[in-house]
Amino acid sequence: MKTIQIQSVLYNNEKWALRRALESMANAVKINKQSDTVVDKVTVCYGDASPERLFDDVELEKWQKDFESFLELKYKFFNENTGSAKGHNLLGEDCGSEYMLIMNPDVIVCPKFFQKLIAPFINNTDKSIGITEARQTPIEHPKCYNRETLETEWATTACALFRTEDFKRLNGFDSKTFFLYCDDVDFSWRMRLLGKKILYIPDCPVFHSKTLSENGAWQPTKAEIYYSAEASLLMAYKWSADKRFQRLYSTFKNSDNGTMKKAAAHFDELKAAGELPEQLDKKHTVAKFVGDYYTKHRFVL
Amino acid sequence: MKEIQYELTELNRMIAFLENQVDKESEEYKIFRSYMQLQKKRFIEEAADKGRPFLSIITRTQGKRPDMLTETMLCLTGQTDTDFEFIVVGHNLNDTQNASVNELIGELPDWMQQKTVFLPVEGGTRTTPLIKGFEAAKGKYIAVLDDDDLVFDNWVASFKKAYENEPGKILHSYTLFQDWETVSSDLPNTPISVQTPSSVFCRDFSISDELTVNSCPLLTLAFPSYAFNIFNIRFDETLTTTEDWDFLMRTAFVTGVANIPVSTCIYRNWLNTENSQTLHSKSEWNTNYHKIVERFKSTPAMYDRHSIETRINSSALSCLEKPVNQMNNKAQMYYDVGDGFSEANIVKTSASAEKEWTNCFVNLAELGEFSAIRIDPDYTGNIALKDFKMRIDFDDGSQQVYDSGNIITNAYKFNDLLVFLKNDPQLIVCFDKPKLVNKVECSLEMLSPVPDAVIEHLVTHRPFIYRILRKIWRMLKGALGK
Repeated sequence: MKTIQIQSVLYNNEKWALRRALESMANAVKINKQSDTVVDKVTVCYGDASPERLFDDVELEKWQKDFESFLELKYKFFNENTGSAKGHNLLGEDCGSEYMLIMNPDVIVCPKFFQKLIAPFINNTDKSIGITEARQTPIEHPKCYNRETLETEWATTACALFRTEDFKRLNGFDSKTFFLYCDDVDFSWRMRLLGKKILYIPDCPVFHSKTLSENGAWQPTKAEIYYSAEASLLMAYKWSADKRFQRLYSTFKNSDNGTMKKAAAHFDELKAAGELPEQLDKKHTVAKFVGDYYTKHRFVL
Repeated sequence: MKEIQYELTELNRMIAFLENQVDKESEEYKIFRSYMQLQKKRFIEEAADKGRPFLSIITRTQGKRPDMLTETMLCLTGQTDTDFEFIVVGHNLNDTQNASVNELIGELPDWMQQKTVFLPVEGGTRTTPLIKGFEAAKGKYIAVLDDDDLVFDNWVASFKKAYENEPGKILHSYTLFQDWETVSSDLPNTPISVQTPSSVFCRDFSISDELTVNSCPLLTLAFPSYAFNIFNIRFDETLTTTEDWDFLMRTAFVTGVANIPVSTCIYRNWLNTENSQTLHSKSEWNTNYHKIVERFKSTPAMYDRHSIETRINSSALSCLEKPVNQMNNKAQMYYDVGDGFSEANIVKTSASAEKEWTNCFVNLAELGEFSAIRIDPDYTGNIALKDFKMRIDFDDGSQQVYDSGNIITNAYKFNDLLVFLKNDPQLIVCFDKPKLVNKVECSLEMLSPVPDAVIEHLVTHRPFIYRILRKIWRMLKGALGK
């Protein structure tokens, strides 16, 4: 029985966007039933980290009914802003499906989504494959992958599939260390420490709404800049990149920029409380820091 | 309810102008008035017509790249505004290709299938499926997506917003330009992006610029259907390339263009697969080019308000003789306040009050500390800067002067020239720590286009191996310097 639990953490999302994504998912289940690699059951679990419930019981029941032919829909209101790592751990606690799929709630999948993403796991008897990752469009992630083997060094959890047993073996995401960013890089690298491969599936496109400015650049919010800085410091520490950690910490600590200073202060707080993560990969077999990135990128975005 | 602006298209603006000019008793007045009343009626009826979609999206396909068509369809599935119909025009498909395209349509979510029409077309040129698609379109506006195009979720919504402000005009948004390849021989139909998206097509339509260069890819445009259906402005089926440019301009001559200064899509430039550049010979492109520009010369045209303003502003600064001793009004300065250069952080150029300095960027201290600045002397390439100097006045009273020797740039350095052959010329200065800047001034001579002798020297005498050796030399020099 191939069963998949799809998990998305919500935070004040637009309902029309959620519905659009669910419609594409239900359609992909329908198309999958005509294929050779049929997924027997798909459950979508929403974990709501919004300040107020996005769905009341009546509306939830209506949505469950609307999609019941193809999907089982579950909803959990966290009553706290869990961030992504903790949210997915909470949703994954009692996952009984064979596979788990982590995705952003507004991602729209292609019709042959399930066949494409699950195919590498089929007949993978030695269980050497850890994660498969879909290709985001219209703006593709620029991290490198091997064009022949499709291996890559980490998978973004905008849309990534893995075995539930591996999730449990890894104790899920490191929610104590990472709130919003790099939980997926850390998860991928720990998966690779188990000896498993990460595969990028370029012929499995998913639409992930993003826009760039008129000069083709990202437009990060202040919160995104902060959590990105916080995570970069903790990644360097946790993955034993000592020189990088010292350089980042010193730069952040001495910066005139309040956001960077705050990231360094957060690290100091964790250290004082004895809550820093255990350091891993001291021989640097998995972790790779390339400039500001966690693997080589094809281009700057 | 917002009043319908029916007098904004160039033709209607002209007729409305004449209506006000002529004697109210004249026959001409009656004709002009009657025409404007008809226009008002048509525009109001069209806006109120809920039975028609806002946009008809036409995608012509030869059925050769189903995976890419799937991705184009996926992008349409993600639109925030779904007020569209989707017409897939299958051109000269064999049975297998026909079945493949039908299968892709059959795999769409139900709501998308209901919006989708499959229209097989046999014969003609590559322009024929466009004409058939336009004839079948029910939308108030018509846009064309190739079967490998990518659009953001705001593509339809941006067109619609512009239509509500300036109905009747061609709608033109920005596109990012990006290099792509196909992944491998095992995945010959699967794309991979290989370069940072460029903003070369992120600029307003200008009728004078566009008369000689096609710089508005088709996916950036939505055409009012009345121009096709009522004024019979049609694609030229004899053109085998740039038929879109010809059609755009002949429509723009009548309707004008409303610009949408937002990027809504990605124009893919294929590096290792067939594209229109590789499918058609240079002589074919040349023949079509000359045919089109000859037609422009003989077609009545109305110069739209935006283009006139741009042209006058540009001329006022750049004078008519070449070389000019300053950058034109397209020059702008980007400043980095710690999170990179972005469109949110731009200062436009103005003429300097000091004689020695020609362009200046002022009142900068109030924008905060800069970690870097970047000056783009123009949008396009094929320019050279001679005797370039830049002076930066810092808030602490100090000054720093840069020239071609110590500035970071994507130009070729040739004698005293900075030569920009490609679009998006850039001059960058990075500071060792964030600084408050009061003023930036530049002095230069701008040569446009780049003199033939310079191009010949760069192309003929600087082969690839020379550039590699020079790069190695620079690296060695840098290492030795340390």
